[in-house]
Amino acid sequence: MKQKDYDYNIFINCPFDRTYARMFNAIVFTITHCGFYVRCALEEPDSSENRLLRILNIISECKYSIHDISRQEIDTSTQLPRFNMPLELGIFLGAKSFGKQYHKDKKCLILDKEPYRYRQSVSDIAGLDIEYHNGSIKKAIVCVRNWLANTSGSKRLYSGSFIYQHYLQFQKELPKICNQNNLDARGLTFLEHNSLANAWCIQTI
Amino acid sequence: MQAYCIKCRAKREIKDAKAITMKNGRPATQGVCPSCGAKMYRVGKG
Repeated sequence: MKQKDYDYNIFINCPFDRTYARMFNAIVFTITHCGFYVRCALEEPDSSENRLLRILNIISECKYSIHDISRQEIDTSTQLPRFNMPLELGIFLGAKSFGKQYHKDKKCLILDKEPYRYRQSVSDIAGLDIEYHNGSIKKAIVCVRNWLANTSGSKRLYSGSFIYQHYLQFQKELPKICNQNNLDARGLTFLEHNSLANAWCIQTI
Repeated sequence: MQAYCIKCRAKREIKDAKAITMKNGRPATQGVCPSCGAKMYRVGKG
């Protein structure tokens, strides 16, 4: 059955390591600023549930998704690329094609590092919404905001450059906000960061 | 509707949930944590 908040949920499929943390936090902030709710595999960190099952459940509860495939690199220790992001993109596209009627209007944004790089690795996705950010947080914010404005029909969203300014302001205020809540701004979990971003955006914009 | 309570460090059902509208026209929900009484916020409609 379609969940009540299905139309507000956005699944994020991206790397969850320290190198990507700033980009991840910026995308989470942008989605929240635009009035949508972020869902990702990190939302139930202690769950004993199988990780893939958890991802399937989340995808089934999200109308939208954002997939950052910019980190398809060979791991120096294993000499193999990580396949989790293309796998989860495939699951989302499969849900859209084969899922119940309300899944047919699922929408996804694919982010990559450079234009047309995906043609060398996952050329079958040509024709979908693919944008590139070149590792720039500001560019990623603008891509996500513009895609949401176009696909969701929300007419009054702040522009990407405004959201970027708010993101910088939020980052500046975050240590103080964390201090008030006995948290360390450098060690926030996804749930903590998402909760603080929700509170900040709702109270500020 | 559930949200993460930053004081309890846990997901809780929002008590006294009130629908509000952000300046960009998007709906949001605010209320309090049923356990500790801290304010809770979440974008989206409850």
